[in-house]
Amino acid sequence: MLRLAAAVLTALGLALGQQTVITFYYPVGVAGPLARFIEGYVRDFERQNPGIRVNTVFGGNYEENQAKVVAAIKAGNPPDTAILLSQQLYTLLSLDAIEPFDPYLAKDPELKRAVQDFFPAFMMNSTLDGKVYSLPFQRSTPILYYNKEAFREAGLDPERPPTTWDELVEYAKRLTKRDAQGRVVRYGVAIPTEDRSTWLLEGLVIQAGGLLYDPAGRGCKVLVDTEPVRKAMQFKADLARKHGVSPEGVIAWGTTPGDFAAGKVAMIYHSTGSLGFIRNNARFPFGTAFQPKLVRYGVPTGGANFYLFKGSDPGKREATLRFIKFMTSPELQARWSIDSGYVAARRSSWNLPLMREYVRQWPQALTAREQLAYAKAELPVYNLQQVKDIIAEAEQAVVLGRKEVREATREAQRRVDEALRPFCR
Amino acid sequence: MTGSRPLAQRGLRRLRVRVGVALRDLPALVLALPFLFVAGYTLLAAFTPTAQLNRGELGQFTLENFRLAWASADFPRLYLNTALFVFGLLLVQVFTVTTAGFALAQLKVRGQNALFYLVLAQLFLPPSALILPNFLTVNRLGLTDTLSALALPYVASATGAFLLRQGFLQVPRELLEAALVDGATPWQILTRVLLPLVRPQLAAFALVSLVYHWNEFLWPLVVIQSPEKRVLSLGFASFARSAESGMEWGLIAAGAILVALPMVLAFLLFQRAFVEAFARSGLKG
Amino acid sequence: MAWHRPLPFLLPTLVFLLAFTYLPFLIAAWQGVPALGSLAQRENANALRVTLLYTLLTVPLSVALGLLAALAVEGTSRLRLLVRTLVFHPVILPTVAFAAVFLYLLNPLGPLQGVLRLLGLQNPLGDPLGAFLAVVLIGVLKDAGLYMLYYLAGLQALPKELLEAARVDGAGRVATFLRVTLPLLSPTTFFVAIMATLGALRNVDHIFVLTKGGPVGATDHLLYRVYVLGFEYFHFPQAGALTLVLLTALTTLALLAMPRLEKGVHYDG
Repeated sequence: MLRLAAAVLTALGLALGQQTVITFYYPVGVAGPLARFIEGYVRDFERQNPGIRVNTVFGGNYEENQAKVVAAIKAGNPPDTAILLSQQLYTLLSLDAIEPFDPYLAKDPELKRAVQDFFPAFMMNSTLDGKVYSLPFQRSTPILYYNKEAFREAGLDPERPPTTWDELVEYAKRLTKRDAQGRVVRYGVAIPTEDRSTWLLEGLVIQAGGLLYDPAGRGCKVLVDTEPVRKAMQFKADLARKHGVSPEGVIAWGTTPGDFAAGKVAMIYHSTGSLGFIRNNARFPFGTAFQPKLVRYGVPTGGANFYLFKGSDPGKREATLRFIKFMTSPELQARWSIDSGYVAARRSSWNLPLMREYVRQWPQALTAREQLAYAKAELPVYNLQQVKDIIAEAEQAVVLGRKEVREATREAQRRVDEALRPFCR
Repeated sequence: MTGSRPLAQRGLRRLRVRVGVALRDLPALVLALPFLFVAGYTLLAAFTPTAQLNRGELGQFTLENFRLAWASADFPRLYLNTALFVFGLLLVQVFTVTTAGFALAQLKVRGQNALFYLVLAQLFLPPSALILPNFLTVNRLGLTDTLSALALPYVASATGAFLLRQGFLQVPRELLEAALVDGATPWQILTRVLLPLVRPQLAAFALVSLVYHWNEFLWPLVVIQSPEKRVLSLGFASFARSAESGMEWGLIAAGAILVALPMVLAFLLFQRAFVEAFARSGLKG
Repeated sequence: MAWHRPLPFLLPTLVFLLAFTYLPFLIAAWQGVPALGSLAQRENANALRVTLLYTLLTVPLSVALGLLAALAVEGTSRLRLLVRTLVFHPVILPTVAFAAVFLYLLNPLGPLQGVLRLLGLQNPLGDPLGAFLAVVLIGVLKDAGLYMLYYLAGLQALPKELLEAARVDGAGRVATFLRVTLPLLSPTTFFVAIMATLGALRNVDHIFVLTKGGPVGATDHLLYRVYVLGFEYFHFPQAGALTLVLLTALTTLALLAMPRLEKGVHYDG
């Protein structure tokens, strides 16, 4: 009923030329409580800006959202703004679809301040050739979650999470619990293998001293057939196949936080964005920590940014910018972080009383921020989805024991190069 | 004493009959199990908090999942879009399948008529297999991201045409001839004389078409880009899949129920009509 | 019967048939023929194999379930009508919603974990074979109710005298079923098998929700791959080539089935 009333009002406003309507299209995967928070923020924005009406809609998951936006661009019907993965920069540039924020930065000191205030790690995927192409909104890094109760039970110090891969395996062995028949009732660790993403793998690769791409490669050089990638894939496969401390098979991304909260897995690798879910679902004390290192700490940043699309009319562009400034403001980023578990992307957010109080209560939230010091940009490449699919499939084949790691990376490298050829000459 | 024996025997026989009946129903009961299980769990999950589901507990009753699901997608709009699509399409189809059925009823075939086969073959060429070429056509027409584009591949329906054809063939010859003698045009004969007589076939087709398109997913996924033009199945799919956080089972179950509810209610109310419609739609009615 | 020409009445249908059923053949060919070589690529060849296996498994299973269900619920007792409703109800549910429930049922912590463990499939969706079987299971359960209806109609139309005669001759129930009922039902079986094959080639909605074609391509159905290639990678030529394969399969099916169906269509009148 309210929505209907709102729609009628919108129509009236448009007819009288009073209101600008912008569509805000966000990919917070599972709706859950996050939707409610976003609706709340938008209400607040509208209250402060009576001339603007924001049409909020779930865009589906990241892949789906991306496919839809690209299709809209190809059909000559681009959105005003969209929240897409920060790593989509090259794909969007290849479509000649986006504009940099720079002209507005020059005119708008508030926006300029914002750009300087974001954590540098979150801006890594945003800038190219000195231009700013996207602003962080729902940003995260993967972290290690661990069950303190299980630690205590296994005789481990709950304040000393594992810091190296070897330690992780050793802890996981002690945390794995079997019943009288020898069936596992609690696994030591679970590192999901995502269906169509390379995010967690990238973290392992960084920890092994590598990087999945050449930062100077301008979206064209993906480094799959390298020793760090092989080490990362092998490590993952060994957890289940050699050490027996992790569930067999491909571990689903979506069910992993639930498994952890239910006490079936003692440690998991997952997004900071799941902090809210785990807080609400776990009935035991849990900790968060850096992901352990092989030769160094490190994770990729993740999540999605605001982009500006070409061809938007000036009125809407003005309203859109105002909305983006609101959604990326220190206050709102702090609220968003507290509500969801995403990392507040503004450094000044963390000085707000609200945020200080939260961190005092939930020190787990600090891990992600501190880990940012070791973070790298997430794989930025042309033809992103196909490249990610190829690497993810190779990873699955290794985890499932279908392929020897050397063969898998070699083949994936060849296919990735082939997939990039039309974009990179 | 003497009287009690036959009584006991009768009781025994009755018992045996009852056991026999139960045994004969056993296959039906076994068969029902998986379906009951799935439906039952959906209901239970929808009314149980996700945290409990994840611990393998059921019990604490809650409506929270429905509240969240309702807040997570613009359900009024999804219902409206879906209704616009399925009923709008049906309106057009009523015209195309009636006229086509009428024409087909008159084609003297026995294998020679190419037109007959051209229509019949569509049964084997479902639009979902043609998403790529049809998307290119719709794109060329400038109709991507419209509800009309959703309907286009289904406007011609062989299922409907043949269902109606059967209806027309059952109409007594004399009736047609009488109308012809009265000087009626074919159009008048179709609309005034025949249409009322094929109502059962038309109703059957309508039900099948509504159900089929209400549940349509792949073609809308290809055609629709704007969230505000989504239909139910799309709206639901986008929150059944997680991007970053954990799976909210309760929410997914509640969403599934919200999506299916109108059809399930209609089905429970008009069960016989549904069953007949689907049985007929299989060509051989 | 030449009292008027039927063509004008067929025209609306013909126009749309040409535009959205037959023109697509040309478009798919125009897009796909130059990329036919890509069919040999590993992922595409895998999709062909998966589709073939999926069809070969789903069709007999769903036909058999439909027949068994019809036999089990034949009659008019309250219980049987209730079971009929239960078996039929997935037909009217959106596949995405039905499949999403399985996402929960099949998750390693779900209510089926005991059964799954017995089957050695603790994490069915994380295992190539398990995921494939899950997709088959949903394909079968979703449509079996429809096939049950067709079989119920077929059973009702059986000549009772023949069944009686067999019984009088002293044939057992199983023998009667195998020697009399089943052969008499063969037109229905043929028809149901065709419908099931079409369903297996056409409905991939559950793959979108459940497995996204994985793991390692184990559930990468042709039609799902057409979507990914065409609408996620925007690689129309390859998507066109795969569409051509799909169309070839469907056309073959049509050529096999139409002569017999046409008879049915013609005489049923």
